[in-house]
Amino acid sequence: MSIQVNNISKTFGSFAALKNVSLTVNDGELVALLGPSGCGKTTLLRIIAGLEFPDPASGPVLFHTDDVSRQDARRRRVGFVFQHYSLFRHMNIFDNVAFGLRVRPRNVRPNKAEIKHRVESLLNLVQLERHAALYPWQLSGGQRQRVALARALAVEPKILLLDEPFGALDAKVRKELRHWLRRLHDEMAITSVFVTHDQEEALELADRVAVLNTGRIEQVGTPEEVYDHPANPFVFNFLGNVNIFHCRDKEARQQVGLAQAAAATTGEKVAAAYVRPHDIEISRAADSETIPARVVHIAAAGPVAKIQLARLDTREMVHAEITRQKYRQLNLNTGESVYIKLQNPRYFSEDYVI
Amino acid sequence: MTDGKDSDTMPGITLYSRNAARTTQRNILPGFGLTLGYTLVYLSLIVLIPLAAISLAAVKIEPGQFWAAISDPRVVASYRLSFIAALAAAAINTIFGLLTAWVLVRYRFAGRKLLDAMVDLPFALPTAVAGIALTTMYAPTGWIGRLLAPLGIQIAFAPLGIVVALTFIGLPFVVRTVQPVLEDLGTETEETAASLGASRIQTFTRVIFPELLPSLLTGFALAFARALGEYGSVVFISGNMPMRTEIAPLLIMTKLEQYDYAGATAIAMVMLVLSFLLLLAINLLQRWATRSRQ
Repeated sequence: MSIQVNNISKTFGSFAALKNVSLTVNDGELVALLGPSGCGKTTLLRIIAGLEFPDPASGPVLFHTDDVSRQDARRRRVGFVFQHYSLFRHMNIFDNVAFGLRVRPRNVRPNKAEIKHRVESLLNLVQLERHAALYPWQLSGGQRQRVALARALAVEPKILLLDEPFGALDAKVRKELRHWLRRLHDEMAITSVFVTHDQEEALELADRVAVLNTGRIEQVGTPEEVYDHPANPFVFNFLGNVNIFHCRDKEARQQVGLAQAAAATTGEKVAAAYVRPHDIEISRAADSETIPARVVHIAAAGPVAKIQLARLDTREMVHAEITRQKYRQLNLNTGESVYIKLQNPRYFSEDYVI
Repeated sequence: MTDGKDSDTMPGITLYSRNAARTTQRNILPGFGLTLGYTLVYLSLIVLIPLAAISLAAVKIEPGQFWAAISDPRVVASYRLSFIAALAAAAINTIFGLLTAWVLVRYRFAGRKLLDAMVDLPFALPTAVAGIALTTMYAPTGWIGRLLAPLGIQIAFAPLGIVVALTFIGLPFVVRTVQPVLEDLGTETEETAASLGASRIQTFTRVIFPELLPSLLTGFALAFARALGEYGSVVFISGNMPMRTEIAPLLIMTKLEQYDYAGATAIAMVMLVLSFLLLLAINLLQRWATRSRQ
């Protein structure tokens, strides 16, 4: 079932959490709402769930073609997974998962055997079938989150919403659960939206990513689109590390070796070049487009070698990431002078405030 | 205090300390021996020794005399009144205490802080003052009593008046035990239940109430215990009519004034045993209610 929100605004007192936000999530899609804390991503998710209601002037929230704006969470039949699991402490795992089925009106409530069957198959799905009789405090964080997911899925929601589902877990468990959730989503093909502040998580897991900042959606697109073609400096900055090369005047542009910079800068409007660390090329030989720099620090442990350099002309710091193979070839040492070249720079005018 | 060193001076205490050390290895929190020792001494001086003295005095009474003292119809009537009134007051306080705690935690309104502070007033007020004030209000000529009198409802100088007084003095207990639990519970639990399709009533009965039950029971037990021993406020509002509105603590007082120490001790002993059993039962109930917690 698709989700469509139109011109949603939400103010808490004098604070505008969302400003005219519109978003469409297609049927069966997995969409990430990505942004820094306080950007309104959770508020948007809660509005979709019916746990929060937008300002009166806002447009409707549509599920498929139904306007659900006036329905509260109970009627929307949406599965919601909270960041801190929010399991019922006084119920064991089985009862937690069965809750949504047991509170149904008598005429649509499955009988005991059906509930048992359904709960057991869900616990199987989340690989917790042997934990049915335990209480939440007896489980680890990752297990609790899986219970919360099973509980949300028990009511057969048409839409699954997850609020920072992996936020409270440690890095290793987080990655495992991430892959597991993706597989689960592909099997069940249930329209899902999850909130995260972790760009890696959003880019890896989602079909499409909506990047939010200060109550607005900055860009929506596939992970490749938003990463390779960020709409503005904020998106560029938020999706990964970045080096900014200021091109305030012609001289600076030439210094940076950016012939294209002139073309990208309309008239005399000032531009800056944004370059990812892995797009900084390091070489020992100079040419017309290279900038001289000195190696300040090397962190070679891990999948890539992270090199920190200082430009010899402006003394600005530049962060580069090169493959380990390239690192071995160059045989870099701290303190050495080398030349850097900018690949795939993106130009944004500098009056844009991040 | 460390193990062994003080075994000469406080043998009993260090024995505990050693046992604890054996089972829990080294505890990061120091002072187990010191704090436990202090607690035991304190409890003994303040609670256990006086209670033991009652038991001892009760044992000294001849069985025949003891039985005669506790089976006197007037005494039996006072037990019944004391326990029923205390239970009723505690029950009323449980319901309205929950409501009060709910309002104080869940809603923001002008004067909330003031209301919150007022909850503790029954603790601060001398109970005799409370008794006199309540009597003035609820007497057939008082502000409230006058309105109820035509309806045939008498509160002051009737068992109902005792319940009113006991409700007044026990009010803070349930509020103060439930309040922190309710604050801790937050609204997320309710949102979860709502998103799973539970109605408001289902959310309350299946999710919120079970979470609050242990603290409600604690509050109930405290309010009950407090009401059972209350004397000061009740003597004013009850009228103290034998067989009708005479509570057990008052009867003990009366016996003491008549130098009938044996009779007073016997009644006190029965009160002690009955309230101990009741509190034990509430505690077991509470343990059952928290069986799923860590």
